[in-house]
Amino acid sequence: MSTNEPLLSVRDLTTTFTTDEGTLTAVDGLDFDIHEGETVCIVGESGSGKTVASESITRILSMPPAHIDGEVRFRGQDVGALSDGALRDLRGGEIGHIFQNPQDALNHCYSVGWQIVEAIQFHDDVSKAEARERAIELLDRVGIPEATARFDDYPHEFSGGMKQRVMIAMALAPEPDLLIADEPTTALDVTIQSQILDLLEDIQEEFGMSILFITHDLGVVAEVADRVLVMYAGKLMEEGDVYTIFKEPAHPYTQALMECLPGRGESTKGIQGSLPDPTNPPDGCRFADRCPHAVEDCKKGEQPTLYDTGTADHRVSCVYYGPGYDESRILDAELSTGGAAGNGGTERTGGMNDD
Amino acid sequence: MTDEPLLEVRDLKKHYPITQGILKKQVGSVKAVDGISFDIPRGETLGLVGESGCGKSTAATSIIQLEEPTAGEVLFNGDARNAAETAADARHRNDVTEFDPEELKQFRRQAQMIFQDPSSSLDPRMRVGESIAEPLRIHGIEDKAARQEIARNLLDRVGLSRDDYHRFPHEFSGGQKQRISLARALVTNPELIVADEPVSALDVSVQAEILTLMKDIQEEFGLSILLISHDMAVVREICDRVAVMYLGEIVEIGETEELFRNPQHPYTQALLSSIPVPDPTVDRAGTTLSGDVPSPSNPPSGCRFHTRCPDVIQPEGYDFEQEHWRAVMDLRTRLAQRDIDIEAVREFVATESDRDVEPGAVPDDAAKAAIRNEFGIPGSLQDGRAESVLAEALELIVNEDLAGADELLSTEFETVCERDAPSLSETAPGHQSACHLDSTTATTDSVESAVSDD
Amino acid sequence: MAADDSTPTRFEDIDWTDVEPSGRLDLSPKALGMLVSTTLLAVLFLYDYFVVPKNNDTFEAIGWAYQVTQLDYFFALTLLAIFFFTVVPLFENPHLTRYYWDRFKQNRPAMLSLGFLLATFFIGMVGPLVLSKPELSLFAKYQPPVYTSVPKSAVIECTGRVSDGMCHGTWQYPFGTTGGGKDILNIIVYGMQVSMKVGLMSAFIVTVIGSLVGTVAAYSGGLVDEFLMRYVDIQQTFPSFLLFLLLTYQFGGSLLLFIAIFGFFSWGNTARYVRSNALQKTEEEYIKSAKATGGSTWLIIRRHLVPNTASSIITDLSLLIPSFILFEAAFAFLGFGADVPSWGRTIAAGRADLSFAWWISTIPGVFLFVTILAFNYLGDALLDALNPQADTESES
Repeated sequence: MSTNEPLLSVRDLTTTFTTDEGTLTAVDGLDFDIHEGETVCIVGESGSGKTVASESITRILSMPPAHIDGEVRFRGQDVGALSDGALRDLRGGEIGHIFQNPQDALNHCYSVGWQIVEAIQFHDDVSKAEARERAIELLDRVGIPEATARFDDYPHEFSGGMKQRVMIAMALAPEPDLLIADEPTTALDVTIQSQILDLLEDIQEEFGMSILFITHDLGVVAEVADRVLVMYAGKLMEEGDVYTIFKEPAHPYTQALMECLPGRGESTKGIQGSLPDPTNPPDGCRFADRCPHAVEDCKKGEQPTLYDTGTADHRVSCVYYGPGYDESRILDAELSTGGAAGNGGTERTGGMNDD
Repeated sequence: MTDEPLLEVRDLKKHYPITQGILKKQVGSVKAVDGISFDIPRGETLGLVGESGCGKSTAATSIIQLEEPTAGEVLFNGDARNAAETAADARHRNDVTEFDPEELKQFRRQAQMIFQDPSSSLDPRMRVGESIAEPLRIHGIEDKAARQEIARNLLDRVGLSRDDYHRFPHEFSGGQKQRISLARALVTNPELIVADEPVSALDVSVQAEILTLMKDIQEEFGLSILLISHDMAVVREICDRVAVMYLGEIVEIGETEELFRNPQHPYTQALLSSIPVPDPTVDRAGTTLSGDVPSPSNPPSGCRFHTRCPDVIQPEGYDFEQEHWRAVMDLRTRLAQRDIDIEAVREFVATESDRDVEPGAVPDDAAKAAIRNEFGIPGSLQDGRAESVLAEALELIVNEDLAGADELLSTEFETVCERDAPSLSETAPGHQSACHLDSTTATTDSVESAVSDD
Repeated sequence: MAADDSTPTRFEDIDWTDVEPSGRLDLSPKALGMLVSTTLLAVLFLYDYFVVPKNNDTFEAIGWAYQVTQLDYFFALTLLAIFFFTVVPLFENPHLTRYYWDRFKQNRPAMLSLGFLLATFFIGMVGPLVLSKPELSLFAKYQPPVYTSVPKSAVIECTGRVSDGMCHGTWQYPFGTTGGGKDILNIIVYGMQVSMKVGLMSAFIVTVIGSLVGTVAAYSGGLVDEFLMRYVDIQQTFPSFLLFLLLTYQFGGSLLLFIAIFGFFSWGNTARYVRSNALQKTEEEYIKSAKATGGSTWLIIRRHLVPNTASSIITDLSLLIPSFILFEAAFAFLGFGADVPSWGRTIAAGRADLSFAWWISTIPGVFLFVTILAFNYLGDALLDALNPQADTESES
């Protein structure tokens, strides 16, 4: 990992929503960095706050009802202090967004080419003809066949996968330094998903940008991520290198998540219980109620701080890694049940490990 | 119990008419399901997998008679129907599609369906207990107390509380609602449950719980389950056998483990290799399919997968690199749709070259090169004869004779895959695949041998 | 039931070979209640029509001098329907009711509106039984409302104090009197009843026909749908205004005529609305699920489709009811109205005297305005209270 200043640095990000039922804390004290050229995945289930976290970075949430606290620095610049205009420039410029449902994100009244031209002109003061040329190049780059001919087509004339490619072209138009991709392949079929993941990988190499990738799918995480953040109920549970996370998942929640994966040839285990009430979170660790290893200390005070596990850049919010506890209890438990990737076979056929 | 399968589907078809104008004249049809056949033995789970638009959900609703199939038979050998008989008019007595209203109602008691979306599968204005008991009421259990007791008992058995009877669906989480749906499907003690994507709307941790519950219930009551899913991992988790659908047809069917370990059809192989593996040390080196799924209103001739198949069989008498042959096939597919705009190609070339070139002034050679480039066809094909045919076709294309180019390539480069539709043939005991590669030789890794055997 | 007399408590214990699907109509308690009370009403009507001599009071036998009119029968039916299908379900589902009520409560203007409308309803119902019909009494003309005054020259006899040549109002006529000496308070109270009758009865007709046509069209589809919706198209281009004028000219105006014409010719939009809503709902999985379980079309419409589309009519009704009330007032203002003491007539009657007797037009006008405003607020709030529930459902 590069040691110089991170591209994006998020400190104590807390996003709350005012609702009829009270104040709902969607993201609670999130800290993370993204370095140049790095892909960071936020993984979590619904209600974990991963999407809200990503939308809080460029403040594309509607405020109110949302309220954002904490510090977000992009290239050292405090995003929270930016004027509305500067924020718009940032969103349309250095930080690009792609979303889960491309059909909702494209405007159906304009041709796709026109929308990309607009994105280019919003950022760069170029002539229409020049912007059109750039747009065609971009469409070609993201794998739209016959880019010139399809320039004037409307979104409904594209398939789901093609629309997502158009969205990527739009996000790439201002040559962003950071691409925030919120479940970009969840709505797509697996064969199309693999096309899009390949495309993202290629363009990342070519443009050298960083990607913040939001997903619930551990398979996708394993494929795209350099570093992984595991979120649960608005809190960061564990962060680390992708290899470490899959080989030695340290937090009981991460372990449980891996054991949920179906089709591994082993019996899957669900996680008993349900998410805590986001308007009135319990004391202590948010996962304590569902955790098989929970002790009294887990249900007291605040969410445990992120302790180092001993492995480089691997931190986990669990009391077992703090003073006075033996972390091997968690790690051994993990070994006995066998993590998802513990028996990492290399056989590709079947998409899963057979042995 | 007899050895007879509980459900036999024979050549089931469901076509939707495409109509035009005020008079609703039929101008075509969407062949959502186009002749599928399979059996489900008692106590077994069959998975029907495929991508969106492959017709798997339509197959489910046609089997359960929510929609009337266009053709084919659905034989249900449940209950007292064990001894299959043939009616006097030679129709199968157990054919669901021929049932009279009374028989159909009885069938509906014995075959239940679970749907995908837990938020819409329960009536929001009905207490969940009433929802569970409703099928009993429909089928003539008039004792209200008995209905209530059975529903409470079931709530308990699917992992909820007896006191949840009086609560409303919006008070439950997605996973709990799916448990309630399962209870509702079970209440008439059916022999068959058709589950359409029962867990795809749920989080992975909840998915696992529901799948476990389904497995337990199946074991306890010896149910047969038809599971519709797009998720290969889910199918692998609970199915005994799997059928893979592509564009309304079953391309491969077999025992789950056998099919996952040794997929025969190129589509199944592509599908399996597209799944991201939750292990960062494994590279998803699998083949990426080109293009999108064609429209089921006008499916490709022959093998429906030939427009995207990486292993499409080469024409007789030519020798391509398989990758280049696939590229030429892509060009052919687009030509067949007349979807190449040579003006646009010239404009693109003009745009790419940084000098100021009028699109009209782009030389033919540059345009040809751009077309080759777009499809990934090399500057010169390895096989001289093939290259000369391709060069001729490109010449026609730059002269805007798409029809001529299409015809030339279709006659010269015709492959068995587009000519004949392959039928399902056995590749291993209980494992069938519909691919010309299988019908000639059991191995799939050697395309050349397949062609030479031809 | 199972062969042995014990009731099965587990689903697998049911012996289906013994279960005979019966054709017995399965009525819910409220449907039964509605049926019984409607039958009683019908019997009373027949008794009135055939047994009681014409021009005799209906309840002469028990010494109550009240001539029950056709309008009254119809209004009773409307009230019964409102009771059994709005009030009773609210009590049947206390949990859901509480939920809606909690949401509704937060809207203060809507609470005030509800209070005002309930008061209007009950005063309108009971008042005319207690108060005499406003009568001409020329000696009492132009009495000012209490705490106000009018030049002495305007009145013949001042009921209140006279000072400085001004006649002051008294509590005898708190809202003053008209140029004919009618007590405006009486007019207001009778007008409340007229407005409620017009609003509720027309809405009742519209709701029944609109929901029925809408759901049937949506669920049947095909030709039935086509036919019904084309009919709605035609009906909506038909000027019910002209028809009303024509019939009033022919038979004389009556409130029943007004309600019937506007009720029977205004359900088009409601039917359309219900249809589109029901079309959405038929795609819902619980409808498919009921079908796959073997539920009959009638059962699905009655138990799933109607309850789930009914609440959506509220928006429509919150606009329709005030528009009916306003229409009636407008017709009465123009002089085409029925011969009942309505707000519109009084506004019309007072407009010539606005220069000195402002209250004659203004007081009924204020009541009309507030009533319509209250319905609008109420409709908005109900929509807000009922809709978020759909949101939370899809979220969870």
